[in-house]
Amino acid sequence: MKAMKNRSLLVVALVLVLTLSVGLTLAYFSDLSVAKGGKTIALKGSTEIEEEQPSNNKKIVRIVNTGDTPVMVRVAVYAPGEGATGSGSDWEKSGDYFYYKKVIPAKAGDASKSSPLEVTWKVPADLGDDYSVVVAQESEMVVYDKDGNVVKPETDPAWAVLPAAQ
Amino acid sequence: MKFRGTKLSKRTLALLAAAVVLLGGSGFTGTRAALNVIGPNYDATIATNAIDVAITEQVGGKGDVTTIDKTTKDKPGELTLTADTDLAIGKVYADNVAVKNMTGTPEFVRVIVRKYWTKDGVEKTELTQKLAPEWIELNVKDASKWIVKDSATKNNEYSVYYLKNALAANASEVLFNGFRINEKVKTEGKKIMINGEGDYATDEAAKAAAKPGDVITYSYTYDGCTFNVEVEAQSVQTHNAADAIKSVWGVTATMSGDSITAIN
Repeated sequence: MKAMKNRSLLVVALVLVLTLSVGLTLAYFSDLSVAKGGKTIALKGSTEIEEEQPSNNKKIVRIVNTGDTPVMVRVAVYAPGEGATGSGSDWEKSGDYFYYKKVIPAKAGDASKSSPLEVTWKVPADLGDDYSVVVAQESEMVVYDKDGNVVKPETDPAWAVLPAAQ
Repeated sequence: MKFRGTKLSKRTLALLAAAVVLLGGSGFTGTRAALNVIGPNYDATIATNAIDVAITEQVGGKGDVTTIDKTTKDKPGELTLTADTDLAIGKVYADNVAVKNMTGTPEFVRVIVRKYWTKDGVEKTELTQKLAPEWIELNVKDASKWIVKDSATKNNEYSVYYLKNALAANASEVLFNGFRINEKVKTEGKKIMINGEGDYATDEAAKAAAKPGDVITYSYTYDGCTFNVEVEAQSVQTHNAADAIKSVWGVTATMSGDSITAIN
């Protein structure tokens, strides 16, 4: 019994001494705070063509953004013979394509639609009605430069897939 | 000597005496160290028993400043980053992320920044491990005020920023003033299908195969992925700073006066 009490006191003494050494290690003042945040990016645009044909040599074309992200678009027109011409206040021809000069926003109702591009062509006399004019469109997600300006659509290297007008 | 009827050995008594003396001495040492931090006013010493560093955020670079304090890795505070719901790729979003000294005593501060991608809230997937943290670009407001370490590791996933000068009482220092997502997220890993078929890795290959009237579909590796920024601000006392930094942060700091000149 006496030996056990002695041993208990020894243990208490050792714990006190060990506590001292631990206390020395933790003597420095320190603190921390942690924060985190994140955003999901949407890259997949989705666009459709709306076409009207008021006459046999004219089409009115609008591009509708049906996706979740703002897009820029370009259009190619495939027509027989001498090809087709296009005009529209917000459209600009560069190379074989008509580029829409504005961004088409997503989820904005009627504002998610481009202004019209009027496409006209010369009806080939030798083909009669046996020909077709195809309008194709391609969309790309909008890219900004570091200053927040939209990168000009015709300079975006991502364009490449849509075959050129013939 | 007897303790509750038990005779104590000389060895036990000696150990107990040593423990009491050492513990008393340690209390004295702690008090002395605190006094050195604060000065001769003992009342002020009580207020310095803790230092406090917070993270602040000013979304958009102006307006209200949100303070995030007393948060941990398990329960981190929330960084808003931007109020915009649709993120524009390539655009620099203004966002001031700063450290703030919440006490009346100077402190040395470092900030551990981690950038990573998740998909549907999951980080460790085959896809997310391939996504590049370096396309999450954080703009350091004034690089001359910080020593950056570890930025070359893990594809820029981790960076540690040491504020060279002690952060003065109640002062704050902006680390980042903006961020952007590099436009390469749009082209890296892009796949192209024509009329729902094929898996063309390059625009050139797809262009060669496409005909007028074909429906061309893109898929993007980063589409629907979430970029994450984690910021951990840590502070230590300025008194006996080199030893404190070594002990708490585990790095060797070279000091010159009240400034850190190098970290090893």
